[in-house]
Amino acid sequence: MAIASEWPTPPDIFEYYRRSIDALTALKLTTVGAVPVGSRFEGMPQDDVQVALVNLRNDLDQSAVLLLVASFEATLQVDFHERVTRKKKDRVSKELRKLWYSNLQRHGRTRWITVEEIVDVWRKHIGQTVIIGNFKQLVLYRHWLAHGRYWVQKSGLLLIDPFDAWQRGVALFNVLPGFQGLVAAWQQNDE
Amino acid sequence: MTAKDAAFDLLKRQKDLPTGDPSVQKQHWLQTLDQLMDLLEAWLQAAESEGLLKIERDKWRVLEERLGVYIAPRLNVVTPRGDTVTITPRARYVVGAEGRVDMECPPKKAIFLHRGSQGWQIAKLAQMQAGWSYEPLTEESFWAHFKDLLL
Repeated sequence: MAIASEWPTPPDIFEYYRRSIDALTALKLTTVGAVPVGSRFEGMPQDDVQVALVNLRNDLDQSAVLLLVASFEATLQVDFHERVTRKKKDRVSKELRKLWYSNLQRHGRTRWITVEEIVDVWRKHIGQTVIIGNFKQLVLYRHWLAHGRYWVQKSGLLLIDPFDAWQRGVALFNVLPGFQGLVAAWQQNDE
Repeated sequence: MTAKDAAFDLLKRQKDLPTGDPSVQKQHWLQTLDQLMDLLEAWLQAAESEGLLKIERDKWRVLEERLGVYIAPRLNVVTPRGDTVTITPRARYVVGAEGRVDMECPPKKAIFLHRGSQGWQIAKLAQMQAGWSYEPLTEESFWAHFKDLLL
């Protein structure tokens, strides 16, 4: 597998999220005045507009959770592949390489190493079971979102929005050795 | 500080925390919510007395994995344009805080986080970076966020 030169990072996803909220705000203001002829909002009672806005915001939140967790996974997967290919000597890298080779022997290249397996290796070395458990719950929730929400969601999470997802991701990256500067870099104002 | 002093200090801080018993935790959380709603209602009443807002306090059903179902106070605030701002308890157990309450006027939202003995903070989606920015909940910060929801 070749790693892409870039992929959506949390700052990219937050920009999308903010712009989408701005777009919904603009929609709300439009519905107070005149909406374009033929718009689905034309003639809609204000109470129904309110319900539509709530639903649109909820859907946006779930999309942003999906993108954000996927971005967290990308960060962990890219780090994993660097540790495998560059043959780093630290204990975590050695353990991750072991995981990679044992998977290769059992399944060839047909099976992916999951993000859950990667964080389990980290947990063996740094502990932090609550933080890593919280993150794995989030990944379970993301699987449910990504695969069409057709099963009863059993991650144990009843309330997940981008704020919760961000908190869980930040908590993880802040305790993983070698990742500590990452959150600060994501939070830097680059404009 | 000796190791013994440090251990005693840690134990004293643990003693000050509510117990892990879910019913005690729930009771403590509901008291915290009542205090918050009283405070917010007091701030809002100045606008209500001038006929600028209508405030209604009702009950909201919350479901949490650890606490089960409970009924918590909620505020509904209606503006002259007919917008409704709801201030709704979301959860006692959240990552990084000791409770969360959302203030929403769709599609916008501000988040109140309970920081234990440090009181409440407002989290706002940061404008130029990833994540949220935080500030203490004061009457001034409350009104600034309230106004932002209405724009």
